[in-house]
Amino acid sequence: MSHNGLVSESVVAALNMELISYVVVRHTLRGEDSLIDNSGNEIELNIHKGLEGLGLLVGLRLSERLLYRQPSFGEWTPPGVSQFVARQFWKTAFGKRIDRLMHMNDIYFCLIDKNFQWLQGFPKMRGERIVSTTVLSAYGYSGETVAEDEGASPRTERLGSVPIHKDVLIYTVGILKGLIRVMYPTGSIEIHANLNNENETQFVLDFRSPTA
Amino acid sequence: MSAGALNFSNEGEKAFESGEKVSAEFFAITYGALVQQMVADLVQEEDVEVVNQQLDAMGRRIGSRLIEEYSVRSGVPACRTFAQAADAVALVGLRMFLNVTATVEPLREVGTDAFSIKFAENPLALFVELPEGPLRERLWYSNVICGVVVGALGMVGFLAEATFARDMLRGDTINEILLCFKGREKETFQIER
Repeated sequence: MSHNGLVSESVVAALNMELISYVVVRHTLRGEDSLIDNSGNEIELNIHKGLEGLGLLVGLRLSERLLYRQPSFGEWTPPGVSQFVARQFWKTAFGKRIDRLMHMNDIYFCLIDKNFQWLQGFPKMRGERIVSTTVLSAYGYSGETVAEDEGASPRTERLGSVPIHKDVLIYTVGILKGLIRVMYPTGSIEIHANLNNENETQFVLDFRSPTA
Repeated sequence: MSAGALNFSNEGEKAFESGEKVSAEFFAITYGALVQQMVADLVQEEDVEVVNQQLDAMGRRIGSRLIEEYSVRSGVPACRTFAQAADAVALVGLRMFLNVTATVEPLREVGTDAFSIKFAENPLALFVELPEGPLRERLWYSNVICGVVVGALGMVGFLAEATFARDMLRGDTINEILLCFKGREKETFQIER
């Protein structure tokens, strides 16, 4: 019986959740040793870096496998990148295509997953709360921030070392960054993700040149 | 292969085909990144056993979650004996979740209730080469599988121990897991039939 290159989606989802847990636990446990007053913010920043870093690594390695089979020359266009992510990458990682792909002037794309597989084990969002990441690849790590949830403090949002929605989004954005970096190495791109109260997860690929 | 084993094998294949599937390459890459991170986090470089334990603990958590899907989708009735449980692990569980074709046979040692599970393909080990030294000698790269098996069996009342005996990443010709029965969890809720 030949191996057909597929495994069960639930195993892969469980593994990715364990990876996220591993990073969160590592940094929250280390953070407990710190006596600095702002250790909460430092923990959040380290978790962000750790998750994005591993996501980047996964995305870079995955791009080698996926792009190996693509008969394409030179750099991809923004629409090409977005279509590839919406179809090939989503199929590879989540077993399905993205539900909706919206765009504005072939330069700003929003990929909408109505029921993001990796958030299935997390509580549904209530009220007007929205989870958001803001990741600006152009400025590197030091300039990156985690958007506040309408003023909510990150420390009250996180209970101990249990992963939260944002951790999943940050990690997934990291994978996308690693994947797209290979396809679109010199162009400008910002990637971020939002989860709204309709349980829709949106991944934004913004190819507009940054205003310095 | 016995008639029962053949039925189990068919059930495993059906369960795999009916579920959502994703790329084995993505799976292997994700796992590799995590193992690499665990190794990098070692305080002592030679403390490879710590990674083995972390992978086992991670696997137990995964196994305790997968057993629910197994119960719902596999179509295999609850196992009454450990021999049936070993068959179910090797012929249904590994096929259903990892798309692995495995064989299972009892170990012929007096006084043991133990089974050998062998498989040639390992989706976790795509693209992997272990460097000479402590990693190749002491790391059971796919130890998460042992944890998954023990975690899943624990949820249905079988106390078990699973360990790698042979690993193709170490130069062996086959991957082999030894599955030993350690007892049964007392059922706290009995339904008389």
